[in-house]
Amino acid sequence: MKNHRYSEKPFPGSFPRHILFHGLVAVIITMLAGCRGDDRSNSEANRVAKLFPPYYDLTIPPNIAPLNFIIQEPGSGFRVEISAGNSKTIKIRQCSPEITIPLQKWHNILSGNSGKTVQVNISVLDHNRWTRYEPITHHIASDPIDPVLAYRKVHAVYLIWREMGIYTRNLTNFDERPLIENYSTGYGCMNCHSFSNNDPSKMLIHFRIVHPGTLILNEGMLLKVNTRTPDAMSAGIYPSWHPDGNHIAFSTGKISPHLTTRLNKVVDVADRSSDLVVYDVKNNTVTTSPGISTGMRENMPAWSADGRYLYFICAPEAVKGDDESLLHSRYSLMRIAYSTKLNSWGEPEMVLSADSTGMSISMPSVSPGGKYLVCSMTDYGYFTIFHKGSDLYVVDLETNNYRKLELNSGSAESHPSWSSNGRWLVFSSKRMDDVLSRTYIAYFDRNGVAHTPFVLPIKNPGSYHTSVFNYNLPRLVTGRIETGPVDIRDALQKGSLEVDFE
Amino acid sequence: MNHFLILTIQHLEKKRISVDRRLSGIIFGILPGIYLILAFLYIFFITRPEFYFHHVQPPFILSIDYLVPYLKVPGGLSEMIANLFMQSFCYRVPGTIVLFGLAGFIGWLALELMNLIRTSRLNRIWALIPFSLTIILTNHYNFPFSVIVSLLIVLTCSLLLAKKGKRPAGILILYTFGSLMVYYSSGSGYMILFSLMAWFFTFRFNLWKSLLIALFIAGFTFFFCRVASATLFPIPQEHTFFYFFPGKIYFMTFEPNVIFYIYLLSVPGLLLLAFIMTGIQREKRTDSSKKVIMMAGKAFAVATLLALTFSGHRATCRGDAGKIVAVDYYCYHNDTARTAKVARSLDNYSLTANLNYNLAISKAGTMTEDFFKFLQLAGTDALHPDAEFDPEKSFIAADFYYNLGYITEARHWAYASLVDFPYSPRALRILVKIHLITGEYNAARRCLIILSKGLTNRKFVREFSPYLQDTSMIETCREIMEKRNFIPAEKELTPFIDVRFRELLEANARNKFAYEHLVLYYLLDAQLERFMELYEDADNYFSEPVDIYEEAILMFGEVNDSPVNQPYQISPGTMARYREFNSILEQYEGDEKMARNVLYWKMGTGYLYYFHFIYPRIVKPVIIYPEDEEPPI
Repeated sequence: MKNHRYSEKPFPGSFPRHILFHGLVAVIITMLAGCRGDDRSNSEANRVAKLFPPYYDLTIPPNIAPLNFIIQEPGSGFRVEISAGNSKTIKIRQCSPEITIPLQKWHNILSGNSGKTVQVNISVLDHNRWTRYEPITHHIASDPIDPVLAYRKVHAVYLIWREMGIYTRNLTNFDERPLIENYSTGYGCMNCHSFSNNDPSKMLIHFRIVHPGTLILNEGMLLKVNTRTPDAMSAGIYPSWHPDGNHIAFSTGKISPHLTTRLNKVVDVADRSSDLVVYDVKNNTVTTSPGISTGMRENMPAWSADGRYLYFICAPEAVKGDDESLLHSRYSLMRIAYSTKLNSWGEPEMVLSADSTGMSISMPSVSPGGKYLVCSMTDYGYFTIFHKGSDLYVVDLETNNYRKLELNSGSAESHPSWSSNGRWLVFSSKRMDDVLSRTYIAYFDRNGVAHTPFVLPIKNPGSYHTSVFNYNLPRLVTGRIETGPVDIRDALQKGSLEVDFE
Repeated sequence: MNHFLILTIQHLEKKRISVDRRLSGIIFGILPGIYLILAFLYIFFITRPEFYFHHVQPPFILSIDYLVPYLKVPGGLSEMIANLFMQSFCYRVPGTIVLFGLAGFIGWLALELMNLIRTSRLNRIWALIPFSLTIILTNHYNFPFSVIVSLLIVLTCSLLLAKKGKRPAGILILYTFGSLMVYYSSGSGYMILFSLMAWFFTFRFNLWKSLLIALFIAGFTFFFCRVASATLFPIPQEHTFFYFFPGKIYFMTFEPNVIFYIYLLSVPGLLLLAFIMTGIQREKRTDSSKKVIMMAGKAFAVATLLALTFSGHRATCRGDAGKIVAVDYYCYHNDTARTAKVARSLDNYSLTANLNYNLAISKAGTMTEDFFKFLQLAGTDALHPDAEFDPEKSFIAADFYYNLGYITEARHWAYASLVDFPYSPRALRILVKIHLITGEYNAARRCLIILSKGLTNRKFVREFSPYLQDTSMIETCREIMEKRNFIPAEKELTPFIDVRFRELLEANARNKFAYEHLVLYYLLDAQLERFMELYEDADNYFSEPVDIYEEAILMFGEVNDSPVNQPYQISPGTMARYREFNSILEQYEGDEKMARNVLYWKMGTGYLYYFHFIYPRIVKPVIIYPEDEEPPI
C-alpha cells in the first residue's frame, strides 16, 4: 500500500493547501512586521494625537471603566502606554487604531493612584516611522462615581417612537442590562425613570399608551399606580423623589409637541398648563397646595437635599390663542416649603427670576449636599433637549448667585443629575453630532467648578458612530437595581392602583 | 399463432411500459422542470424582490450595535438572517436567485423528509407545494421574511433528527437540542412546529416507546415555552406559545391568512400524507388497482399543487397594493415614466400613489405640465403628504420636503422614517444629504458610516464621502447648494401647506418648486383670485405659456364674468380647447354624467376638467376642538 505522505509524485494533491498555508504565514509575518516598524526611526509630534472620543486631560473617577479610544491618525501600527505612579504600565501595541484597554490592569492603575495622575503615551507608525505624540494626562479623582448609570435609549425621535428601553450600565465595566424594553410591553412609551437619593431600591418609571401607569419599585415591591385623580389635568409627569423615599413630587398638565423651521431647535414642547402635586407612596394619596396649583405654569419639581423645600420652575399663564405666550415664555426658578410630617405647605418664593437671568430655567437638580442646584437655561421654553443653545448653569442656593458651567459646548446640554457624593455630574449632550444625545460625566469639585466632561466610556467607541439611539435622562445609582424585564413586564400587565386625592 | 400472440402481447406490454415511462418522465422530470422555470420567472416578473426590499427596507449592517439586540430575544436570529438574505433583494437578479434558492432548499428539505417515510417519485410533486408557497407568500410585501428562514431552520433540524435519531435515546437528545435551538433562533411557534415534525418520527418505534417519546415532546414543549417566558425572556405574554414573526408598525402588519397557515403546516401535512400512502401501499392489491391508485395519486398531487399555487397567488397578489409599492419604488429611483404608467394603472385611487406621482413629475421638472394627467382626487392633500399625521407616508414626506427645499421638515420626516425602519438605507441616505445641507457634518458622517457598514450602499458612500473629507467641496455640489439656498426663515412650523410654500418663496424667489406647488395649491382649491396674483410672476419661471394656467385664467374670467382673453393673451390652442369643452358641456346639458365621461377621454388631463368635475367634491372636515382644548400646534 502506498503511503500518501511520501508519494513520489512531484506535486502531491495537497499542493494548493501548501500555497494557502505559505501565503497565510507570509501575510502574518508581513502584518507583524508592519506593526513593529523600525523602533529606531522615531520622531516627535508637538501635539497630542487625535482621539475619538476626545479624552484629553480629564478628571476621571477612580472606579470608571477603561477609557477606550480610537486613534484618528494615519498609520499602520499603534503603540499606547498607560502609566501612573509605581503601578505597572499598560503597554498596547497593535495594527488597529481601536484601543481596548485591559479592564483589570486599568483598574489596578486607577485604584492605586487615586488623587494622582495617569499618563497616556501614544505613538503611531506611519511609512515605517514611529511618531510619538505628546502625552495625555488625566487626573484620577479620589471621589468615586456611583457604579451604576440608568438611562433610556430611544431613537432620534421627534413626534413618534418605536423601540425604546430603559437600561442600566455598570460604570466600572461595560455591562449593560435592560431594565425594560418596550417590545415586551407592546411598544408603549416609557420615560422619566427616577430614583430617591440615587437609591436603586426606590425607583419609578412612567408607562404611556400601552399598559399605562406609573410603576414604583419600593424596596423590592413593584406597584403600578394611576396617579391621575379626577381633579388633576393629567397623571403625574416629571417626578422628583423626596429624600425620605416616601413622597414623590410630580408635575401634572397638558403638554404638546410642536415643530419649528429652526435649524437649532427643530422640535419644541409647549407647556399649555401645569401644576404640581405630591404623592405619598405609603398612603397612596396625592396632595397639593394652592401655591403650586395656580394659573401659572409650575413644572419640573426637584426636592432640596433636606426635603424641606420643593424647587420648581414657573412661567406665566399661557393665554389661549396667543402662541407667543404659549411657546416663548421664560421660566423662573421658585421653591415652596413643605413638611411631609405635617403635610403643610409654605408660600412660593422666587429663587431666580427669568427677568434677572434673561433666560428660561429648566430641569433643576439639587446637589446631595444641598448647596448647589444645577439646571439648564435656554432662551425660552422648558423642553430644552432640542435647543442647541441650552446650557447648564449652577446656582449657589446659599447666595442665589448663578453662573454658567465650564462643561458646556455649542450644542444642547440637558438632564443634569448628581452622584450620591455630589462630586460627579452626569448630563445629556448633543455635542457629538447635534442630533443624538450622549451621556457625559464631569467632576464637580469642592469649589463648585465643573471639570472637562467626557462621554460615557464604552467598550467599542466606534459604536458611537453607528448607534442610532439617544442616551436619554442619565441617572446615577449606588448599586444594582434588583428587578428586571420579566418582573416589570409582569407587573405592568396588572391593573393600576388608583390614588386618592387628599 | 400462440407465439405470434405472445410476441404481440409482449410488444404491446413493452410499448405500454415505454409509454408509462415516458409519461412518468413527463410528470416527474419535465413538468417539475417547467414548473421550476416558471417559478423563477414568476419571482422575476411578478414578485419583484426589489419592490419587496424597497417596501420593507430590511436593515443589515456589520456592527455590534445592530447585531447584538437580535441575539437577545427568541426569534431574533431568524429575523437577522432574513434581513441578511433580503439584502440581495435590493437588486432584481440576485434577489430572484436568492429567493428561488431558498424556496428550492425548503422544497428539497420537504422532499428528503418525505423520502425518509416513503420513497416515491410522487414526492417530487408534493415537495413543490412548500416551494411554491414560499415564493407566493413573498408577493405580499408585508410578509415577514423571517418566516421562511424559521421554516428553513425547523426543516433542517427535523431532517437531522429524522436521519440521526434512529434510537429512542438519540431522538430524545436530538429533539431536546433541536427544539432549544429552534426556540432561540425562531421562537415558540416554530418550536411547536418542530415538535410536531419530531412526533412523526417517533412512529418508527413501537407503540409504547412512541407514546412515551411523544409525551416527552409535548411536555417539554409546553413547559419550556412557559418557563422561558416566565423567567428567561421578557417576551410579550402572547408570544409564550405562538410566536411566528416579529411585530411591525401597524401599516406594515402582516395579517396571516389561510395560505400562511397552510404554508406552515404544509410539511407536517405532507409527512402525514406519506404515512397514509405507506399504509395504502402495504395493503395487497391487484396490479390494475395499484395502477389506478398511482394514477389517482399523481392526479391528486398535481391538482393539489396547482390549486394551492393558484389560490395562493390570488390570496397574496394584492393588485393595487403591489402597484403602490411599485409607484413608490419608481418615484424614488427617478423613473418618472414608469411612475406615471403604474400610478395611472391603479384600479382605485390611492393618495400615496398620487403623492408619488406628483413628486416624480416635480423631480423631473414637468410638475405643471403633467400635474392633471393624474386625477387629483384628493385635492390639495396631494400636495401635503403630512396633512394628516401618518407615519406610513414618512418616506414620501421626507422626499417631498427635500425636493421642495423645506429642509427642517425633510429632516423631521427622515428621522420619523428611521424610527419605524431602523438603519433603513433610504432614510440614512436622505439624512446624509440633509445634514450636509444644514451643515451638521458630524451627523452626516455618522449616517454615512452606518451606510458604509451596510451591503448595498457602496456607490452612495463613494459619492458622498469626499464632501465629508473636505467640506469645502460641498460648494461644488449643485443639489446641496440649491437646497441650502431654499431653506426658509426660522419660525414656528405653520400647519398650512400653502403658507409653507409661501415661506419657501419668501426665502428664495428662485425656488420654482415652491412657486409651482403654491400655484397648484390655489388651482386645486379653486382660489382663482390668489392664483391670478401669483400668475403675474409666471414669466419668471416659464418661458412658454402654460396650458393649465391659461385654462385657470379662463375659468377665472368665467366665474367673475369678465373678459380675460385679450388682457392675458390666451393662446389659440387653449381657446380652442375651451370652446370645445364648453360645446360638449352644452351638448350634454342636463346629463352631467355623460358629459363627464365624454370629456374625461377628450380633455381629462386639463384644469378645465378638474374645475368642472372634480373640485369641490373633496370636502374636508373642519375640526372643532372642545372649549378647554386647543388645536395641536
